[in-house]
Amino acid sequence: MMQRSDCINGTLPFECSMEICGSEMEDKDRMQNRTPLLELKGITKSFGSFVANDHIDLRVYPGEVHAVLGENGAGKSTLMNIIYGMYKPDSGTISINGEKVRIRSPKDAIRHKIGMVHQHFMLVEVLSAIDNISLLEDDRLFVPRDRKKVKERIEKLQQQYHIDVDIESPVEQLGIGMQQKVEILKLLYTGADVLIFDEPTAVLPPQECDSLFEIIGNLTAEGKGVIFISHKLDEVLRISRRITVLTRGRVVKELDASEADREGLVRLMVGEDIDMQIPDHREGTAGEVVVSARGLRARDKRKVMTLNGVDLDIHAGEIVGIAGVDGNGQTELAETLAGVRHAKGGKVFIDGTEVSTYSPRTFVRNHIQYVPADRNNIGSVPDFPLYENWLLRNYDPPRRGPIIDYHKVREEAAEAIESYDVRTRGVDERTAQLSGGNLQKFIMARSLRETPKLLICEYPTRGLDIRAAMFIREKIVEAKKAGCGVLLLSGDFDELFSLSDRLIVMYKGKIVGERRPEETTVREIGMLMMGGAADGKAD
Amino acid sequence: MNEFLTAAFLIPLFAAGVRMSVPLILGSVGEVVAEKTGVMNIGLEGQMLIAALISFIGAYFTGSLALGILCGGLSGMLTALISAFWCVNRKQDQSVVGIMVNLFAIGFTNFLYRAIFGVRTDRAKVEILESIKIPVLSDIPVIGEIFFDQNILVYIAVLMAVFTLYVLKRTRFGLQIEATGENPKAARSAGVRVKPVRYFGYMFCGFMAGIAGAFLSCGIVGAYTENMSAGRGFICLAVTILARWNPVLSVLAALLFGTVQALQLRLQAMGSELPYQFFVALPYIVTLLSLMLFGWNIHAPKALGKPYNEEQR
Amino acid sequence: MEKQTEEKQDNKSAFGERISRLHEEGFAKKLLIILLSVFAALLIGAVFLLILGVDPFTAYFYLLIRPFRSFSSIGELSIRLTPILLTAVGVSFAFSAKLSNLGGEGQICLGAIGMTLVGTSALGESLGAFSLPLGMAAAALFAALWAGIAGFVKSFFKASEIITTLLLNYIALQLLSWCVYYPLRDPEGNIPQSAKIAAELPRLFEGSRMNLGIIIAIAAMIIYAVVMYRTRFGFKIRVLGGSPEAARYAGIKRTRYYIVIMCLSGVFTGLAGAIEVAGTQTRLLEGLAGSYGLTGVVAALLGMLDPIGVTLSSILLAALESGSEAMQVKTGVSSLFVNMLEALIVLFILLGMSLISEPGKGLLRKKSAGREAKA
Repeated sequence: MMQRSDCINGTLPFECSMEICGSEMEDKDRMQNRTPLLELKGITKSFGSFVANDHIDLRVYPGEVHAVLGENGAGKSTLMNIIYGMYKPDSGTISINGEKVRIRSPKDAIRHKIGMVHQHFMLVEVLSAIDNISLLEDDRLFVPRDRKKVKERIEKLQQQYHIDVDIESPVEQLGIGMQQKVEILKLLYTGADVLIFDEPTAVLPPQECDSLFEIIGNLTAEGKGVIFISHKLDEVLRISRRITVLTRGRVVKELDASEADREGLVRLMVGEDIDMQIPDHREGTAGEVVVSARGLRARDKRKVMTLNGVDLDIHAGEIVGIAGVDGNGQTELAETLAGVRHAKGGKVFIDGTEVSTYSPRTFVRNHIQYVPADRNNIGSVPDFPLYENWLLRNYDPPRRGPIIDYHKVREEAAEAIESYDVRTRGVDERTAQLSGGNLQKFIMARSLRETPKLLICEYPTRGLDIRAAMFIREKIVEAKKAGCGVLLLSGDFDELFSLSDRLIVMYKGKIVGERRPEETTVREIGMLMMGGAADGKAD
Repeated sequence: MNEFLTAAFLIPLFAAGVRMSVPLILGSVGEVVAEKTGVMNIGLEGQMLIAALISFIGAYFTGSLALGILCGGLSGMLTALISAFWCVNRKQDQSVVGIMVNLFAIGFTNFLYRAIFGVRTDRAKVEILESIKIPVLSDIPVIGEIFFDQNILVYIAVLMAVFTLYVLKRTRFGLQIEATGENPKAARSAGVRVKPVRYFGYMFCGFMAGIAGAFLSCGIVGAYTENMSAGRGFICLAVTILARWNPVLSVLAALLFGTVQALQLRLQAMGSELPYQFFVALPYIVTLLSLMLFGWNIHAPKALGKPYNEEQR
Repeated sequence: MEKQTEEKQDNKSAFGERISRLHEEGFAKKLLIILLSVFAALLIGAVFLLILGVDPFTAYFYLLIRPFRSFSSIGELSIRLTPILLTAVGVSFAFSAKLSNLGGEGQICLGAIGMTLVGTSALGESLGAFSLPLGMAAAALFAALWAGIAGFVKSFFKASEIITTLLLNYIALQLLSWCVYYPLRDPEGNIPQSAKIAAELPRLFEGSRMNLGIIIAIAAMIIYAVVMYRTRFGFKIRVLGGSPEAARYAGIKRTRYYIVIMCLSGVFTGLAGAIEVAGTQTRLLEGLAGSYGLTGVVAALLGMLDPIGVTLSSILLAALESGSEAMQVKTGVSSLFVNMLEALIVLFILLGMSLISEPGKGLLRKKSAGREAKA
């Protein structure tokens, strides 16, 4: 806990990491002559005919943070999984300290002192941190485990790197930030020299990012090499020394962080100039209240009350952004307002009438649409063709008697595909074969079929490439302009600040703050997300 | 009712209960390990049936029960290898493959028995396992007679359960097994080789099911009868759930079902008022009811039944 | 040019393509796999037969050719096909929602009991031929309730339906045995079986045992196809099978649907039992359900739950079943031999399908990856 409050109170890990970088800048030349810790040459990997990595070269030197930058789907994660032995490359070589090695499994990678913090944590949820780390031990299989020895070593590492985390409870009981620290402990435990961080900040609030960067700083100071994967330009520019930009599986450029700037990087990533600006949409005034919640409470999947009394009004023609660390009740709020989850207390009013039954059918009939976070399994049925997924949550499909008029359904779906520019071979294509961006466009088309009164969007652009994300954002603004109220859950601060008319922060199932985006800062919102009061004190 | 409560009735009843529970213990200990690695071995019933026959054939022709039982175990393991290949390597639906293994076993055993012994009225027989009295312990009144005057497989079954629990809870291999069943991807990233662990799960379970089958034909009956596993494999699956994936608890659950089976046989023989069909159905009814009463709110391994695809993104 | 082809596709699809997916792309490949699987299974079977000292060609003649050879043998085939088809329809409903209903055997028993109860009652006697629909209704009801137990236990106690339906089979078998020993036993006979029921299903042709049951079974298959692929109810079942999370999102109540689907599944398997009594056996006796329960499951899986696929595989399996008895008589090979063949066929088909869809190596993956690349 120490270091978290440290950051917030302004010991500024930002500067810490800059200092480290600065000191290393001086012996840049010396480093260039040294053999790289890790060197990739001509790594190629394809899945079927899709080339995910195409002759990629990469060098990581000791004591430096090497950022790999690219859009979603550019092949970053594939590359990292190859280095870590999760995938086998089709061709290319990997050298460690100048020696060619073959990495056929994570086991080999660990032996060669490569460690990785995966984007989706690789933790066995029911086991404690100690047990998760014991898995890495290379003991003989059948001798009794020495849990005490492992524990002592972990505690030593915790002291050395100032990582404060509960190592006895099952990791599923820890927060996301804590789980990430367990992952880092795993790396340290194996004594890895090459450390891969795959989008480590995607799940963290801003303050926890600072503490992560501090740890990364300590590691590079010891001469370890860090590969840092991200698509967030600011942090890449902030902590890395070298930057490799990937586009469509190829290296488009490798450059020094000192030579790089935001705009140039975007151009490299996307391949052309792209207008990232959402046109200003905040002129009009919001209309009447469409949906309101009073003292709303709900339980999550594990039957824990994660939504604890929320009062909220959403007006026609406004976008309400919800910020919060994952698991603080946002999902439950969205699901309850969409009728997918039953409220366990409190009331929901649609157009001033209290809702008595929570079922998607009633809510859809009342023109409330919901775009869930998991588009592959919740928002659609992967094995169904597109036109059948068009029927999902459609309670009045065209039909003759009890028989669904599929001819009409197909026409409707085909029209939507056309007008939302969903790239597909047609309505007969299985949904599983659509890329994330195209699937999300399709789901948006379905949800906006008849302009709803309220559109609930849960992480609508997570994992999408920039173009698709911009398309989705434009559609959200369009819906708002047409008089639809929008509830936007997002982890992307750019998105929240550029789209929302009001920003609401949730913490432990309650609303802890409401701001106008033009009157607040990312830092303040981040503080609220951590449960800190607005004056800067941590919880 | 009084006649039921005498020692003369109860002690043999419980002793028989212990005997009847052995196939259930062996099978469910195997299934616990398999399910802990994340695979559901529905083919347990079929493995048991095939092993019952193969062990009998082995014992019949070699004249050695030990060899017969070993043959049984190995044949169970081989049968499980089919499931393992289909489910682990080819990532097919575990229950469908299991059902097919069971169906195969019905046809195969019938075929093999006829091929070897022909259709004759006098049934081929082997000696059954002798019971071993454990010195001292078997002299304890009641308990001694029930638990310590049994054949060797009874003791082995219980020891296996304890040993399995030890391996699962205290060794690194046990940790690997648990990680594989809970989150194979995380396990792999920590250096665990998921496929071999799952193969082990299937093969261990097959071997145990094989010994269970051998116990039926060579251990207590001394002959092979058609379809002699009679759903015990399915009861093993239920026992696994009731025991919350704990091998030692599965001994207790198995004892319960074994005793019900023994009671059922005895009551039938005593010529009760109730129709015999009721008693035959009793073990299944008890299993069903106990699944309803105690089987819920359980923590099955999270990846149970889900094929693991190494290169899935 | 492009538009034209699109329209063509549309027309084709409007013409009932939803009912069956068999013709979709990759069909030729699938068909090849199925044929190869059948061939491979027969080949292995032949090895077994040779060990037994039986000429495989003779055995397979009885299994595969003879059932289709004459008018009367096709009649025999049809009375085997009826329960298999009905059971396959029943379990296909359940499997479509990813519910493994392995309780066909037990549900057939219950259906048979229901039919016999009505058929041997005074009411049944007085109704004559009209007792048949009544008996079928009773059969459907009994079996639906029986299957509903598994659905209920799944919904409220989270017990795996795989285990519960299997356990219910053993219980149902004993229930049927009890019925023919005690309450329904024919008072005039010496063997444990019920009296003849009041009316039999009418035969369709002279000189063949084919009866009205086959028409009912085909009708059931048509109902399955239409309900599954043309109605919202069927759509919901398939959503439930495709992704339970999406079902929740769409407001499909899992607990309720599990029970309803299991009951519906029981209705058809129960009818199989009723027709077995009313069309073939004319009375209730032990062992009546035979292996129809599992064969129905095999048919459903073999046909990949596709109406036409299931029908074709049911015909194959019915041929095997009806041929197996002739084979047993003529060659001495046990009729259970076909169980082995059935299992092998399904296993080989699974293997073949996995080989064409294996990610990385296979073709399906290529397509999906190709899409991703384009996007």
